[in-house]
Amino acid sequence: MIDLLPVPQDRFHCPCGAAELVVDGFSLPGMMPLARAGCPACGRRFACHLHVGFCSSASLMVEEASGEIANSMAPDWYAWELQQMWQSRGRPAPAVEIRGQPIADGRDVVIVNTLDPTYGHNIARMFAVPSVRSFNPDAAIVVIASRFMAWLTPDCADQIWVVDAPLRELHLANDTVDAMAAELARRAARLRYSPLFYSLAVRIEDFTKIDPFDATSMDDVLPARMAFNWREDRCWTQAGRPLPPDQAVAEQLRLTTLLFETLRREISDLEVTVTGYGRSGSFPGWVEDLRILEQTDEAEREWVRRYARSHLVMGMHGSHMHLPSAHAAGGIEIVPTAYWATAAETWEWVNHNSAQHALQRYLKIAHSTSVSDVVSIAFMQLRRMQAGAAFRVMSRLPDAQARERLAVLAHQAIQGGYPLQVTDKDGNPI
Amino acid sequence: MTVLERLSGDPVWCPFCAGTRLPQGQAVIPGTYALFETTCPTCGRQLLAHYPIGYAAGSGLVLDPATGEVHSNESNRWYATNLASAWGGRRERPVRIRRERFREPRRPLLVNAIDLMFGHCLQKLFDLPRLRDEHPDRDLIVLVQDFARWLVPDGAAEIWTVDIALREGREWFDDLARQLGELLATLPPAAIEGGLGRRGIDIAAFTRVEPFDRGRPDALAAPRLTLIWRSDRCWTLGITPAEGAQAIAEQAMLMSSLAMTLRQAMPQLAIAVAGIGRDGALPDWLEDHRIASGGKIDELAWLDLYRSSHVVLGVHGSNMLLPAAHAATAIELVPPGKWQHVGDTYDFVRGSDGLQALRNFRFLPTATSPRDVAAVVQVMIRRAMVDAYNAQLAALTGDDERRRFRATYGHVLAYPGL
Repeated sequence: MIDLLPVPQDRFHCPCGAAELVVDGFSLPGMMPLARAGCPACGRRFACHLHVGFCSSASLMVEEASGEIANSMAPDWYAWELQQMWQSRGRPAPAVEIRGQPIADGRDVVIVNTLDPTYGHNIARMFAVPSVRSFNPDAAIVVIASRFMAWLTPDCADQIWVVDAPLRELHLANDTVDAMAAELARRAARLRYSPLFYSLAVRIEDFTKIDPFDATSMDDVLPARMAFNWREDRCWTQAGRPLPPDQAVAEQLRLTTLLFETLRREISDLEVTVTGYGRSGSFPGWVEDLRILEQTDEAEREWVRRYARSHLVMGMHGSHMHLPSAHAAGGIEIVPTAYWATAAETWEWVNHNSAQHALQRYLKIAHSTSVSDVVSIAFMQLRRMQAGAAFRVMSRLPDAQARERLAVLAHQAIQGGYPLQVTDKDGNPI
Repeated sequence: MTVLERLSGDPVWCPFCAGTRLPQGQAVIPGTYALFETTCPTCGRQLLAHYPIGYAAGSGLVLDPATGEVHSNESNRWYATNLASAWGGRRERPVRIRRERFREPRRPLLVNAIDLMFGHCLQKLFDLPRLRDEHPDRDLIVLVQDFARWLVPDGAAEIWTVDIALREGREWFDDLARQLGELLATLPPAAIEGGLGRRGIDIAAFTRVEPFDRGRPDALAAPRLTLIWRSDRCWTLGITPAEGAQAIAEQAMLMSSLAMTLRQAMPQLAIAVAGIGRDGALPDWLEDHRIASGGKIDELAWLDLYRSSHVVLGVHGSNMLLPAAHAATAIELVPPGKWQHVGDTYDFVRGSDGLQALRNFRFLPTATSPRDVAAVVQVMIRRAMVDAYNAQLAALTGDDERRRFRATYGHVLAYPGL
């Protein structure tokens, strides 16, 4: 936790190499927390990123006069975002709405800033809020969140600053946030900036306020339910072949339809819901299509309610799969080659599972996987999750005959899936 | 007559007379199955009921010797089918039991680890620490096949080792049942129990070999990949998997291709291959630790290889359990029909958390392209090295020492890109 008052308690060295910078103030123009500092040796001034988040062990600063990045040991992309932010100062600031309780003067306040132009990083920062609360039970917690992320703010936060900016612009300067932070600094007895990123014990229901899948009755075993989280900027194509965007979307529509229809032939009571952003094409009438173009909190809540009832959620790998996977009984992500390095980032919620359960519930398969394999794995995983639910319900039944009745009803699910072969229109396996 | 006390499980009911509980009689243990003789007090039928343990727990398995029919509930048909088949093909050959007694057993608790699958044997053995903890007043007697004897942890009062091969593990041996009946009769009143390893275990308690040590200096020096070979279930890419010699040739080609791709990207990577079967041609620069089928296995040499590996990679199966349990990370290539078993018997990861497990173990379809497999291998190597880096950095106290360490090994933090 970094104290911001009277000036940020953080240390920086001047690129001139002759002196440590003298910190004399701070600013928070949106995503980037900055210490304002000058060099007693060379006289230059710098805006230095506090040692938090992606800079927790790396220096990163911008020279105020030239706007040039200096002393950067941060990842290149992050340094680029800082430079972009610096250059965007003075632009019309996106609106900021205050939700929650007023913060009384003289309080000890902790700021948790979740702004980031990457959705997964927003979630990762949001995951820290309950930990900040548990470490600071008496402090007022102010969460800075984007409009689409605000609904995930845990109830333990006192106030939310809701920034109405598109995701891709969340790293840019926001003078309104800066002014609000300065005002807060004037009124707070103590103001701190949370360095936390993630938390090892994330309860997803603290964020969505919706309990994840649990098997308590037969309704949780049958019928088979799955959800597919759709996106159009990263599409499932046959064996991962690269296609122009519109063709990739069309192919994804064809493959998902093939997936649903093939599974439905094996599981006659299968229920499928498609969620996500983008409304290209249409699915067979029995598929529930909840895709949208514009985010609303209620639409996302409705999706999460579906995930929490699903035995299986599927989709391309990405941060859009966090909430589906965290709520469903099991998940399958299709991972493009370039994304393996981050395939399990921001999955801290998975720690409520034992290690072995996590391995059994969540599968990540390569984009080069054949369509037949994807469909087969989905079938087997769906049945496995149903069988797991059946055994869990049975384990809660004291009466052996009741267990046997349930086993009979869930017989097909317990028997499990098997490999399926999907063919193209010429009958060739794909 | 030896009646083994049951320590857990539902009562067993007569399949012909609703609501009639079957009383326990003489224990009958002809192999992996553990049954008792019983007579239904209602219909008078003489039956053999399975103790509700191991894979038979909660199954209500009852064998009618008059017809050979096995009754069970819906959830466990495969086990019932095995039992019926074993009864129908009862073997008459003599079975050798080697009895090792380490001390006089107090209130003996018999654990039957005989099985037809190596993974199942392991799962039964993995339950031993739990049994010891939950029944400290009892001494364990472990019944195990020859090939698994070395994996029985220390502490049992007796180990009874039988010359039943893995492939014979589902069969019924009358001679074994007879001999065990006699042996049990010589013991104080005994019980029978056995689960399927429902909690974390320390693999070194079983193999006597510590797994990958992140604190070891060479954990950061040179990465090592060990490929796990088997000839009876091969890594093949086709939607309709190849079989026999064609599958072996394809596996050799894919492993060679993977090794060459990785060697190009990471020249410092040491690559070894271990496993049973020497019938595939691999590049001569691979360290080849395979043995021919039927050859003498040096388990300890292989374990030493696994524990020095940043990644082990092979086709899914119980052959991957010991490699995965000892290496830093593991990748299993899963054939189309095996997805419902991934993660089974991974009891050795239960000590770690879910996220750590997801990062350290990957299951990929066998049809995954070698390029994707290579990408995942690189990520797993980085994962192992970053873990080692963090562990070793955390152990340093001096600022200068830490700075030097960072300067020397900071390169492992870079993300790979194929």
